[in-house]
Amino acid sequence: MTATVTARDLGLLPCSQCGLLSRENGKAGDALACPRCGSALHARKPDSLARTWAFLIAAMILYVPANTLTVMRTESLFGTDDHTILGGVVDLWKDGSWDLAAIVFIASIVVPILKMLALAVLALTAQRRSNWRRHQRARLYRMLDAVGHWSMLDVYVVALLVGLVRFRGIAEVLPGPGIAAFGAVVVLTLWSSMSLDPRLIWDTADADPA
Amino acid sequence: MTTLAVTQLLVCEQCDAVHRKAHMRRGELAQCARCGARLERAQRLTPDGMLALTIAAAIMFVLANVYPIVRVDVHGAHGVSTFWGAILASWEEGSETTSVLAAVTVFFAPLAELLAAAYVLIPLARGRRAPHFAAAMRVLRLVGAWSMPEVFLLGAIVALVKLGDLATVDPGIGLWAFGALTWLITLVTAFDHQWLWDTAMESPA
Repeated sequence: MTATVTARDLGLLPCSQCGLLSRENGKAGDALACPRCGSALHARKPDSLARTWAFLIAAMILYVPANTLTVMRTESLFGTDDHTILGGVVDLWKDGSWDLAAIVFIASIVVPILKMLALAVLALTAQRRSNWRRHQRARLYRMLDAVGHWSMLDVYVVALLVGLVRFRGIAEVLPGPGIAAFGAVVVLTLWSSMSLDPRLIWDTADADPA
Repeated sequence: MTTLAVTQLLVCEQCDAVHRKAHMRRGELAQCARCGARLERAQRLTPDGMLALTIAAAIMFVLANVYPIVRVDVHGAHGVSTFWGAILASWEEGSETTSVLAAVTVFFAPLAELLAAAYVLIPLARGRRAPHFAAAMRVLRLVGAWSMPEVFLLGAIVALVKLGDLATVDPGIGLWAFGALTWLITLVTAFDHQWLWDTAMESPA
């Protein structure tokens, strides 16, 4: 197996905006700009791990109120009900929409939890320059990228229900404090995964063990 | 390897591995030999075709925002609502965070994405490079990650099903337009930016 040559080995800087390859011939610490599009050039995303952790920890903290507080309150002739994220899934299930219940369960519960776990695993292994399962970690990163934004689902559901059901005295849906926390978790995990530089997975000490 | 010109090389965005550019046929996909990430896609479409898709998406975007997405009837009271009607009403009811998130990810980001794509592609279809091409490409890249009409479409379906207990709901033209927009904007988002850059640089300003 031939050893992989990286752009860093060759002293080349790929532009993150337009993809142009530049030669790294400035002095170390110089702020380099892409000659084609003017973007700042970095061999790796700056402060990738610190930013990833900062957004991730904030998301983890807000995940608690997002799931324990009410996301919306329904008031109708039949009474008043408070709903949490998980409660919304249970309601759909009880109504017989098991397919939608499964989709909301995956988008609102499974995706955020797995996303935070995956980010923690990726950040931790990158920090330790670990060689452990690099191909699987690279695949995990791409999955994260592909499914992360689907957790925005519940934000839209609440926005629409609150905006559509406002028949005072007959039926009304009101927002709860939980949904703002949930929306913040979605945005923070997106920022966290955008900050993570997947190239760190491959920046390990020894060249190519497997 | 080092004797090759830099323009003959391709670097993996996800693992930094250097590859030699290969000639690819239309629609072919190059994957990184080390990590498996997508390196490059040989565009199936010409700039003309891309522009046509962008315009189709823009038309659907207008329809999705002008026509009502739903009509709701509850015990004789009824309301017809567009996307913006629902979002503004939601804001008035105190759901500011969700309104802002929905407005950014379902309206402003897709709008900016379509405008930037059209701005770049209209001159490119005639073999020219737009002034401030780099700025437009930067917008395209920045907003792409925040454009989520496909998630909104599913959210709207879930909301309508939940409403089914409480009210009679009829999906409107706006919702069907969101369906079409979702499909078209996915194609617009999939344009290979590197290829657009390379093509634009070969064209006069």
